[in-house]
Amino acid sequence: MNKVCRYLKNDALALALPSILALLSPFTFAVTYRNLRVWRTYLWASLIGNLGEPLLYLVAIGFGIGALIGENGIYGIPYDVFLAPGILVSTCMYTATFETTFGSFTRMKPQKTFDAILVTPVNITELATGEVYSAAVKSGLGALIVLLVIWAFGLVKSPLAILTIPLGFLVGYAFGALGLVFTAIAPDYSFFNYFFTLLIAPMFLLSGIFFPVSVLPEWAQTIAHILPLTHAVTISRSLCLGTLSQELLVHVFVLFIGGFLSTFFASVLLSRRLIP
Amino acid sequence: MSDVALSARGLTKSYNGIQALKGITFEVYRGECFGMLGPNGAGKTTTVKILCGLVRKDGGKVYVEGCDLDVDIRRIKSLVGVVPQDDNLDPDLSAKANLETYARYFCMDKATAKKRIDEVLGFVALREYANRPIHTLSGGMRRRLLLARALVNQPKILILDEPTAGLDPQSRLAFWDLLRGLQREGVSIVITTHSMDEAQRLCARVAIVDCGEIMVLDNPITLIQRFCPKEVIEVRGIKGIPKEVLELDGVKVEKAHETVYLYGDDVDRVLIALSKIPNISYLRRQTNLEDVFLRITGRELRE
Repeated sequence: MNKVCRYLKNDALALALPSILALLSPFTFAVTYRNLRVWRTYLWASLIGNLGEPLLYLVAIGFGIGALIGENGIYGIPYDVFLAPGILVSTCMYTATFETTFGSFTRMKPQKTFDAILVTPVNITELATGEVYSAAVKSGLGALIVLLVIWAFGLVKSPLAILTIPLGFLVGYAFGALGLVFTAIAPDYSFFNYFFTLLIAPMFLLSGIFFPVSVLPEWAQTIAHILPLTHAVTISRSLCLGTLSQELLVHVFVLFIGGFLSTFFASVLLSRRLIP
Repeated sequence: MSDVALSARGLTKSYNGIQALKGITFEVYRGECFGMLGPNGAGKTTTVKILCGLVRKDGGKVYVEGCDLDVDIRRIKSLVGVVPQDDNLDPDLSAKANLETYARYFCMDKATAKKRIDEVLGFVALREYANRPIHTLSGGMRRRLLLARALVNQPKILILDEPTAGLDPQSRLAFWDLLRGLQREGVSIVITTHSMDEAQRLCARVAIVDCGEIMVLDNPITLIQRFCPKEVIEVRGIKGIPKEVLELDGVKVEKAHETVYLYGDDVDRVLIALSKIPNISYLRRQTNLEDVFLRITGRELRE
């Protein structure tokens, strides 16, 4: 155990600077290019898959529950308008985490794509960052699709909502990185059940998508504010309603740092696993 | 400039307290084909994985074209091409797209990559299959595509880990010819294999590795002369070793499983002695690298 800790510490020191350099390295983009090129084959299938679930939530919960809540909505905002921005970022979260769990794991284990990449000049931090970036791109496209849908339903109240597309990239970056951490330690696919059941599903329900975090008991609010998705929901809702504030920059910062640290951590774990 | 393309000195590696490499030292000259032979678990794959950056060594030094692996691994990887033991082509992409994505990992510019990909596809005779999905290619074609992929970056050194395992004779012969062609162009080759035939035909020098150490390292012919008499008779169908044979001078007798091996520089006399024994079958042949290999690593099963 001590030995493992020492290894991880050594790797962490060795990979700190490369992790920063990897953010804009051409080798990183080469990895992303590969993933997106493969994805292009399945583009339509996956975009429509992207669309299905959020649409269901909007109809069933937004219009269904929304009808019961009535005209006053939530703090004066109609319920479907309140819900839509949250559904948008949760779609991004699911798109990105699927990509870096099931997707990355497939590339790592059965396909051995990571082994093929690591004998080329691409280093482990660039590989990890490239994987996360491809999740971010898919997530950004997911955001675009959902935005079009909620705009068509008349649930967008401000032109600032266009910024939910770059927000989609950022959310994809943060959650893609989180997923990759779990991939780095996953022995097999079933391990991801823990990730989705214990982390992603609670986040989906408790991050202020369906009701404001402020109605929760205080201890639960504290937890909710730590969850990365809460930050994403806050930004998304402000953009769709057109209520900007400087505080949003803090939320953006939290998502970026969370994504960066997770990517770094995933690199350290992957490095031990793939280069023994 | 020296004519050493790659040098490995005192490589050590242990996994969970078990020493897989106990100090491997060798050099590969420019344009040479260097073979590593050894039973499963001997340390061949660990050695080549260290050379291509997939395993970290515990100790020792590696220099590739003068670059130190500890200092400039990125540069080394750009000089090396790797054909892995397991097929790790991208199953979702066509043959050509596999090479295109791979060229990106070397940051080759588009025009250079395009030209080079056409070249290597032609070299491995897969130009017609460029747009085929990977799963429609035969085993031999996939191996050739893996070779083409390893050549995209115009490597100075090519590392192949059991490249012809599972190929039919035609594909294997074709693959060997490709490697000879590369050698003529000055590419240095490091190859691990279980096929003695392959090693004997391709390699200028071979290292026989066992238990994490290089046991012997030399030209295949020299090794055969050093360790084995000229000929051997393999005899099947006898219980003990007949007295007539044992009495002959200059005959070395080895027994393994169901077969008795009778080694000697002049085995005519052995044949005469054997002809008196009924119901046996035997094969007379020249000794080869396999005899050297078995002499050095023993005849017992390893796993």
